[in-house]
Amino acid sequence: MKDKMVISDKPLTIALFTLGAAMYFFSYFFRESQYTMTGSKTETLPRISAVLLMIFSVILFIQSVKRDRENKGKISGIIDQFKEDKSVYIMFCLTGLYIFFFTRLGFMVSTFLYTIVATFLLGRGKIRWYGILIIAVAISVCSYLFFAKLLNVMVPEGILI
Amino acid sequence: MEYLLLGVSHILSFEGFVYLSGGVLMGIIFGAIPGFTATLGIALLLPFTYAMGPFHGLSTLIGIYVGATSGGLISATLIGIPGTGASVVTTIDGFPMAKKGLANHALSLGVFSSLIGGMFSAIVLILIAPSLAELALKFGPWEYFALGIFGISVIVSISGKDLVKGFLAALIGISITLVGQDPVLAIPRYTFGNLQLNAGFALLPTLLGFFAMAQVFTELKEVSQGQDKVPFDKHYRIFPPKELIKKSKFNFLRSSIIGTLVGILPGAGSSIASFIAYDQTKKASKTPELFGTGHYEGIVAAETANNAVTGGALVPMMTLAIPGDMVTAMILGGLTIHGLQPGPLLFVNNGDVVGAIFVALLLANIMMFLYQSVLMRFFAKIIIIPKHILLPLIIVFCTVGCYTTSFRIGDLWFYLVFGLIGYILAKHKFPLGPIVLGYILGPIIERYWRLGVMSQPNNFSLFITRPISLLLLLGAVFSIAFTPLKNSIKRKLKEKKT
Repeated sequence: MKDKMVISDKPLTIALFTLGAAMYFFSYFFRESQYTMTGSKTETLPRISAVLLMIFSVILFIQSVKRDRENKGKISGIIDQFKEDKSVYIMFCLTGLYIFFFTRLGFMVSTFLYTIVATFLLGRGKIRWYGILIIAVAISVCSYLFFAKLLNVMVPEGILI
Repeated sequence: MEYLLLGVSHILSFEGFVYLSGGVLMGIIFGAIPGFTATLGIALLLPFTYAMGPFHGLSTLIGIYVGATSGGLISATLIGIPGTGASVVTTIDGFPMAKKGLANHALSLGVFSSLIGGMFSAIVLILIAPSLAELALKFGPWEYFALGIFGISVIVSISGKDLVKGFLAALIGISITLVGQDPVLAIPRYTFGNLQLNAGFALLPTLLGFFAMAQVFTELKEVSQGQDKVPFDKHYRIFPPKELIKKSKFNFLRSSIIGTLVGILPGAGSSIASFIAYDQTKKASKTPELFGTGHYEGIVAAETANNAVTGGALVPMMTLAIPGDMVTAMILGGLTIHGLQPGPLLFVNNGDVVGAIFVALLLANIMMFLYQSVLMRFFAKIIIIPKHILLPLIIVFCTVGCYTTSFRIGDLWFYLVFGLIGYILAKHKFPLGPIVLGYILGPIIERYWRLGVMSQPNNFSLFITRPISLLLLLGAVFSIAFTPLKNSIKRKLKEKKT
């Protein structure tokens, strides 16, 4: 039986350390104010947070090195992880497109198109094409009626409604 | 008591009943939909309350408030996505319990706890509102800062086994709040000249990103791996088992007191109340290791505390005209729309309105319990909707919810990106609760630290010499040291025995 793969925290700790370093660096570019005094400056909390972020990232990095050594041969590579998460990245891009077209095409059309593609991708082999179509129409029309008519919430109107 | 009698005649009529129950139902729906909050519900309904008159208008708003605060537990338990900020903590144990096939049991516990917390705070509001308001007045920037630090100490409890990841998650939450204008002088930070970033990252996109979107991404992976079938207990019990209620009596009391007291403090809010109650319950529990795995004590603490905030938050609003949070600010607006002046004079000049609010709060809690007891068996079926239909539907709801709070398209992008970050963090076993804790408490700590320093330049001693502040800071130290201390005592006792 194949051993369960382990994800290394090292790349993430490096990213968090970089974030902390960037936060610290850019805190020098805040506008000065004459009303600030010792211990009460605009940059006080950002710098404290940045330093703590860097310190805890280093601690986690050290812990991660130890853990990776214990799990040698079982560490999942970045490409393996990307392959594993393919469906997540596809949905991320699809939702990005939905947001992009949300105000351009309007709620109803963009929701209809989004639901068709999302249900098709997620329900492959589980649902027929006319089922997808019915679901897409039902979700877009019912949610429009629910939000816009029943709850009186403003939704983007776009090209149709 | 005389206020109550005055209020009863206004609320206990057919019309009054219809308005109040409509408000509660609307609140439950708003609370249950991720991205829709009590604030949005009240904002939408506020203009209509003008035509309803003060008694029915206010009772409708209170109905929404109570309904939405409790309704958040529905999505928090069934799909792991908190319907409102108040139910973030409910996801920690509610969702794992639902995943074990005990969704109805978790919901029943949550609804009953909501009733207890809500009723407790309503009774406190009726009995000792003015004297409690005086306590809130004793809170200066030093006490608020100390409260923030005390709240942050909860990280130790909600981080699970990996404390370093918990602290990092809280720091990520704090870092998110640093973008935008600083809370004291409005100096832009990390905006890089981008106007969208000037207002910072709002609560809803952050919350929906880290909880809703990240959860959707996690579920997606399960769908693609064919692990999307969830066991489901079909029977909903209106009351949780008697032995659980008996076992939870101190939990109910402790969480109700915490919720009510935190509710009284303006700006603290229900999320902080449930975080603190969860932490204290875990510390008092005989089985702290079960927390986070679908343990009943966690659900009871979170839901009792967040609903106990409702009555508490009305205390400063009614007695001092200080709104505790966004929702009570809107209800305050509802009072002024009808020409009423909140504050001490409200009790003198408009005793009937005060009474109507008291009665409405009591009845709203009972109605919330009854409605949810009836409707929950239908809501619970959400869990058996196939994921390929449910997940796109959740994204549609979250997108609309996120959009309607500010009508800023930038918020939608933020929530999407936060979702991916949340997913990556969750994959690396980072607890997501501390992110919200950091997000909520970061600005409180910064604002009140700076206000404290600015009001008494070069005098830092006030943070530790004012009694309430000192007590809270000592509480924070104790809270952090408690678990390691308890473990070391246990170890020593074991060693002695052997």
